[in-house]
Amino acid sequence: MRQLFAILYRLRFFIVFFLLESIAMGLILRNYSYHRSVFVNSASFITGSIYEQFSSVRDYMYLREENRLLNEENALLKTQLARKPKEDQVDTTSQKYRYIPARIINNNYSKQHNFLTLDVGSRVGVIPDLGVVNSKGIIGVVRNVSNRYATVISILNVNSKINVRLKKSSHFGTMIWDGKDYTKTQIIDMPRQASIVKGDTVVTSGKSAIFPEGIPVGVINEVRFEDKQYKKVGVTLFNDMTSISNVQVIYNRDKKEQQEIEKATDNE
Amino acid sequence: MNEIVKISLTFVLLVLLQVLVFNNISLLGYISPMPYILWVLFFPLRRNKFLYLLGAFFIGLTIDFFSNSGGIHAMVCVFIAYIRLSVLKLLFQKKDVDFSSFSIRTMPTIKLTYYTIILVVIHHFIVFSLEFFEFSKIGNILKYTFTTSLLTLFLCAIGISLFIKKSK
Repeated sequence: MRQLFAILYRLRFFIVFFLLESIAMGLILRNYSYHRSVFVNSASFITGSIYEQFSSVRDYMYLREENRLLNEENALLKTQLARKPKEDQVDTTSQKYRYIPARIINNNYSKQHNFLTLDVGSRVGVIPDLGVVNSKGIIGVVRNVSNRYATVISILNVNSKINVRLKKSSHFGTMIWDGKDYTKTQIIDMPRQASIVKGDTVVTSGKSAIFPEGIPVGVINEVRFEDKQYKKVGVTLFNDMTSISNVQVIYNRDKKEQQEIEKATDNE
Repeated sequence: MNEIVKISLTFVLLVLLQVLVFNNISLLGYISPMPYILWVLFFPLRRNKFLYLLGAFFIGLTIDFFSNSGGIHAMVCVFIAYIRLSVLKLLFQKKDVDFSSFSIRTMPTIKLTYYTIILVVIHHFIVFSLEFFEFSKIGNILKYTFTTSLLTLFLCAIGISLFIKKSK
């Protein structure tokens, strides 16, 4: 027994090393399982507030560009509103989706697993698995939420999977990212009946409770059809993911209901 | 005591520089240097080695918190801290390292360079291996390791010559 303790004592440095490495490995593996909230994330109070402080400086430099975008979006919305008949005025109480404005306080796009940090949290009703968009298209899906901040799995994350369809023919597919180019994503599982050509617009399918139907994603830029199936479908994103700042989180009022029904159906 | 304060201050400073400045650099679209590793490389040799190991773990974990990388940096920093002494012993005669007046800050420039290059490359290789997490992407891992190491080493050289290196 004494000998055992002596050995352990001699190995104590290695044991501490091994313990720390095991903890770290556990955290890494947990981080890689997609639908799971994790402990190590930048939505925490300290990391969030540091990012918030410093992002205000960066935002100031992009003010002009941001204003132009907002103005463009305003013009678009006004045009759409003008086209609608008067009695059809937007009634916010019966709307399925509620948009929560948010600011990106930290943005990554050069890694394999890219995340964004937002300056909104559970205080204003943000919960995990909500979609994040801006005027040009989709950005990502909320993962971790603290009181004041939230992290978002960017569409530029090799674990990201978004349900999309073609705007013209409503054939569904799954959009992924191969980790190479931050302006391009890929679509897999496209049915071979779908006729895809370069220049087709890709929008969200609305099949999951995350994004409403028809939010713009990008344009098909590459199609490879071999052995009677689509080997590769590339998409050029509408969004320039390197310079995004103001976004909206989409809160789906029917989300719970839809998920419960889907769960119940899955169990049968 | 003075030294502990200094070590803690460098900790905070390097973490802030890393997450607010260097994480936002992406040269050619993907090269983000990681000069925070200087803290692990130049932690005083004579300090308690358990404290050192824990410190390395915490600087890594702090970086992980900011960059949502799970525990990648915690893991790699602990590993670098663990092998540091072996690398030093490899570069020098064992006797020199054990000698009580030996300090990383005063070692000859050429050995200091080797020391930094070896550990930075190992650090980057592990970081990218864990980030890609797939053996088939070994080509990418090597490419990222090589290019990012170059930029990190360049920044480290500036940091070392300004703040760390002391002539004998």
